[in-house]
Amino acid sequence: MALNLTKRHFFRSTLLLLALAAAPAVAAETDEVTRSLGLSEEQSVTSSRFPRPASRIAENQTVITSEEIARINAHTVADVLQTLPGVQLDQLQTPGSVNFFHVLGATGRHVLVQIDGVPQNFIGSENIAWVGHIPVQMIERIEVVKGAASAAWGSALGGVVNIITKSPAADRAAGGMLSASTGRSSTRDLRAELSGSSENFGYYLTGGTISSDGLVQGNDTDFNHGFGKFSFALPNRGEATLGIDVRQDSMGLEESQRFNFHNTGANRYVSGNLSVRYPLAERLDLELNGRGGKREVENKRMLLSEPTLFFDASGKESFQGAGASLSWGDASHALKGGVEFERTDIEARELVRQLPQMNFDLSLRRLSAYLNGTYTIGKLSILPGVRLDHIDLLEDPVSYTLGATLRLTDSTLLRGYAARGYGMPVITNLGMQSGEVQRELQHVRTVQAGVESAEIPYLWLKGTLFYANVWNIQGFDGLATTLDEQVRQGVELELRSSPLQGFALTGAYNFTDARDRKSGEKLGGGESGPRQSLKLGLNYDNQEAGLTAALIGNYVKLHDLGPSAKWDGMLWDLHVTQKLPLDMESTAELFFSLRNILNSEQYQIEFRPNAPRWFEAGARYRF
Amino acid sequence: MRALLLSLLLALTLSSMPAAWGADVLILQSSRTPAYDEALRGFRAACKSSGHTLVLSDYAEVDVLRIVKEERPRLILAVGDKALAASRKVREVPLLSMLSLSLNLSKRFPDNVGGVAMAVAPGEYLKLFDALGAKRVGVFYDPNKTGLYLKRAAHEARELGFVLVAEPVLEARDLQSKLEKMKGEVDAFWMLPDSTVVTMVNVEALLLFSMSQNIPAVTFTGQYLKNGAAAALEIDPFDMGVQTGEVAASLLRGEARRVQVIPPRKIRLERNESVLRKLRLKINGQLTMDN
Repeated sequence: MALNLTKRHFFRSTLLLLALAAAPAVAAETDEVTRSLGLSEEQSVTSSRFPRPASRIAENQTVITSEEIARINAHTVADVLQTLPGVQLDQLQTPGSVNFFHVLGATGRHVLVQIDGVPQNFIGSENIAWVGHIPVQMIERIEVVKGAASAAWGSALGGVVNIITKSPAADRAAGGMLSASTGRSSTRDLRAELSGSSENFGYYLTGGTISSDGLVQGNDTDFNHGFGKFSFALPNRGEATLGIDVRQDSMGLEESQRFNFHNTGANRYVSGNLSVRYPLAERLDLELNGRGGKREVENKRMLLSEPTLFFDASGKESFQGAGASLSWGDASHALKGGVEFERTDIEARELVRQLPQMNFDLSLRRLSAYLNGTYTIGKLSILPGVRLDHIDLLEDPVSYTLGATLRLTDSTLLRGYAARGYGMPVITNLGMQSGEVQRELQHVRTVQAGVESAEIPYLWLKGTLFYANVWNIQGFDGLATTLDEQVRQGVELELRSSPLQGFALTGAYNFTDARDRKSGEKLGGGESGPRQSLKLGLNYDNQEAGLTAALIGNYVKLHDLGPSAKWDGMLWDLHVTQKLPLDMESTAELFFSLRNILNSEQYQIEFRPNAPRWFEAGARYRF
Repeated sequence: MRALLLSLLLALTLSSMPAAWGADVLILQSSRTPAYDEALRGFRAACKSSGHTLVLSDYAEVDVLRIVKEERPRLILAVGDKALAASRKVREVPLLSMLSLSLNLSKRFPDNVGGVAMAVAPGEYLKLFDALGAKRVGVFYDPNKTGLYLKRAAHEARELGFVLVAEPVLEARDLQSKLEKMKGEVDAFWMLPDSTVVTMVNVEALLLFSMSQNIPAVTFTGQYLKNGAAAALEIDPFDMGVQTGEVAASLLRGEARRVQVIPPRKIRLERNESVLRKLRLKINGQLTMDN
């Protein structure tokens, strides 16, 4: 009854808010200067005919920009990924905590996550990239490739999350932003940003802290981060860029009175990267990059009834890498080839049981060469690619892809590709059961085909069919590690509308059928993500009034939830931002987010519940 | 392995085959207006390179960075303010802009951005004021919108012996109260293309004031001559397109290295003879000129 009342109240309030907000949107008009110079459109346009231009690439890619990230008041990359079609977070807890995710049925450990070319996957920690420990402030855009992309990216069996950071502000010597928000359970996010350029030098600096007493029991976080980027202009429009990334996070992971345990973790990360881009000739660019850094992770589990540790693990990883590439050509006719080297030293320890598979030192070196091309004949573009890797201790994979796009009209594009790719195996624990590193990589053969069209006025539609056969997936049958073969196939549909009176709709539906190839049995949600998911968004923009709002719904259906799971309804979040212009150079923004509005429960394990309904509000000052 | 060899062979064969290059110029047009179309006709007349045009107002959202990454143009042409704003994050490719009010009025742009400015150079206006016999010139401006231009104008005015009586206006409604301050202080008004100052109400008030005080008002568009402005310096969109096209062709040929902001070269003087007669003024000399 109480829930019904809340739901009714929520929908009525939302409708009222949106109706009120719509009123001033109608009043927007062109200014007098533009009109007097004949630069305004002859007929006033209330809605653009097409939501967006069609993309030209063969892969199924989704891009999200810093403006869209700011709209949803995201704290970390985990918050952003949760809103993207085809991507699903397993746990939605306190900002700054651990998150696992799936991309079109592929587990996050098969997805390469990188920031400005620096890989974030922790080979010594099951190849997972902790997207909940990547803050969003420094992000300019995130490009998510859904499906195998090894020919271009290397270990990317399930896709790529390519994070590109902001460049120094080019139009001022100094500008920046201060932001603070607070919400339930003392959940706070404090950030600052400073950016500017002089003649040949630019800088971008940001830092902040995310902390919380925990939106769920035992899930407190204390996350500090800093990021810097310095650019130097070289002759002939070349550029050198130096990036530094520092993060430190300690958190409670989970707690259970019933099972009498408490689980905590800590992460430390530091990296630096230097890249040089230099045009050698017309349509011929040279790129050089070097990177290095350290990752450390700790995990301690203890009894609640007495201060006894029963698990005390740590992993340390130092990495160095370098690469060189040449890109030649344009959109119609292009080649990109390059070489890469990467060395990763891993140190794993578990001090309580001291099992050999959790106590080892390992050094991995990878040497790669790749070549990717584009060739266009009329409306057809063919996109072949190949990559050879040599990895110490593991097998040497050959990855290749053959893609094509066919531009049927200016607004409709057919795309498809077939590829073979690989992913790094789990080295710790499962990968060391025999005392030696499992040599087999995890492999995929995949085919995708899709269409993207803005042919129907005011609608942009995209559909993708995908099939992936993956093998050498590590499992454990109680006695030994098994190497399983799985088939994941399905469909993804996306929709966007043009804004009408400031309102625009987005929607995405995904169906994934994931099965064990031998037995034919469906895979559980933990292994393959949701069987069905529906993401809905209603965005509102009123530039005149400086008001933006986003109402986001997320429905997920999993297979084989497990006995302690709870899964009801949709998760709805509302984000509202009101801009208050102070002058041309500075603005203030007030914002709030109401997350999990209907207080839905969605979790697979009872001591890892999702965050309940929570509210946060804050302010930003941009100068 | 056969598929691998096939991919390699395909990549190498295709890349060695002769093929037409993709578009040299990515043209981002803010909206479909006759002025933009006219300027683009001029651009195409002077720059024969291939171009791919995207009209931004056709789309609710355009991710210009993605388009640039996919199209890989050698040059971007941003036509109008909306296109210039949408391209502000592009750094690797030279960007030329035309018919963009913001290009040289308010703030500086990255080194890869240039083009032909919309605003006529201050020196041309000062020649006109000289011809009108005005030495004290009143001007209203919003520092955030036309501050950069006014700074340049003030510097040039000082050097040429003019007194620029500049009054900042932060909100449109403030203009009318500030008009009174100009009484008896100026010999002419200079109306800048500043959207804070130039509203329909303010234009009416300013021109009424100029008539009542018997001082000429000079504007950036002939549109206001019928409302009582004495003269206007207008740009020619077609020639602005030709001028931009010449710069683009020079960049594409590799002759020019730096992207710069340059003033429009063809300026047309429009005058309201009846207002000039009433004010007993005569514009002397040849003021329509090619820079």
